Amino acid sequence: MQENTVLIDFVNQWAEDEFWVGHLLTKKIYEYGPDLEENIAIGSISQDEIGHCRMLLNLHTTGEKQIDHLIYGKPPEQIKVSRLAEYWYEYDWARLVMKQLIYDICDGVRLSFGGEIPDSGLQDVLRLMKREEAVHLEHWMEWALLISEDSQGQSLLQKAAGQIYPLISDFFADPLIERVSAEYGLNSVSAKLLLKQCLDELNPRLIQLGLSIPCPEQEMIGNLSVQGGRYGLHSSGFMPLYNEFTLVYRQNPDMVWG
Amino acid sequence: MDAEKQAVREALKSVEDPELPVSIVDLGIVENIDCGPEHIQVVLTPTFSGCPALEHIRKLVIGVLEEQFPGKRAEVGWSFTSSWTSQKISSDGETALKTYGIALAADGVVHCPYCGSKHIVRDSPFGSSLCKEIYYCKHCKNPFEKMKHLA
Repeated sequence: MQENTVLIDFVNQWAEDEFWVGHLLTKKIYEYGPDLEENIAIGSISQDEIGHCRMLLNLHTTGEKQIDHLIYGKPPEQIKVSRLAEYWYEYDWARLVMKQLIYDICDGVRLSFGGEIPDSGLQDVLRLMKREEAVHLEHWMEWALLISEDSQGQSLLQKAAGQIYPLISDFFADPLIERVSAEYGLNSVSAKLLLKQCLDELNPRLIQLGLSIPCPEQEMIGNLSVQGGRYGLHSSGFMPLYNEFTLVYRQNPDMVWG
Repeated sequence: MDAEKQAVREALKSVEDPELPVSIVDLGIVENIDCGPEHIQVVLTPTFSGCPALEHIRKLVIGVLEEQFPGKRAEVGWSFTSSWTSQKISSDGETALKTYGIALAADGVVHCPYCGSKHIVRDSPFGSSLCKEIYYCKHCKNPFEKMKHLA
């Protein structure tokens, strides 16, 4: 990959999102799904997400220790994971499905944006990510449709959407979008444009599920000016999770798996 | 292909994928072999980006090559420039998978590996490993796995 610090920052941040989503899915694989097959599916999806993190970091690192440091060795204030990716759910199937559905749609918009960046190594990785993410999105949408078949399920999804939907603004409230756009001459791309693309993709799906749209578009656009995850300002769930998955590395940074 | 590369390729046929009953050669993940006076470099393509077996396969390959080609240093790299698909599985690999109860459908049509029926449904796009999905045969009533094919 090009030795471009803006692009490296963008890739690192993307990798952090993927890692946090994958890590959260791995926490209680055996409890989340309503049946064994679904637990297997969650295991596969979490592996894919962590694999995407690794592929992205591989673009500019030279070994396992460097990757470990970027994921486990950063102090919390340097982590720019989105509040959507770090969103935590105790055992709650509808919330998990809604979080994954919304995250995958946001990530799909980011994949399209990333597809405009003229870097051949990045494009190779994004091609692999895209074909796997398409299966994930289909999977979560199928589950959302199944849950929405009765009024109780719809109510659970509506409640989950009410909590998670506003986090989309935080996902795109990202100064790196503008910096990458300027760096590569993609001047027509802005955080506001990507947010609108995301809502254009997501809102019809929520309506298909029989849900109402939790926040009007103008409010979502207005919230792009609020500093959050991309500025290192995280939710209350951040530190417990950070402390959990960095514990081994903090105790022994030289440890090697296997 | 020169004789040494061919010999390396033959040696790699003894390295089985840890999650499938086929060699990494028949699985179609050996992308490139480069031989020098002191080294052998093998480039592999992962089936899926999150495959948890990458490090294990790397160690197996190095072990086999350094045993069979004493004095040479073996190196393994992973390439993400090309996408693995189930169409890269050899005919020997396809036969081995079918014997094991794993369907392939390289021609786009899924047959039950047990009874050959096309009267099947996909149960889940995720199977016991990242590269497989779960099907069910309505004819012989058996669940079975199929190698995943992503375009």
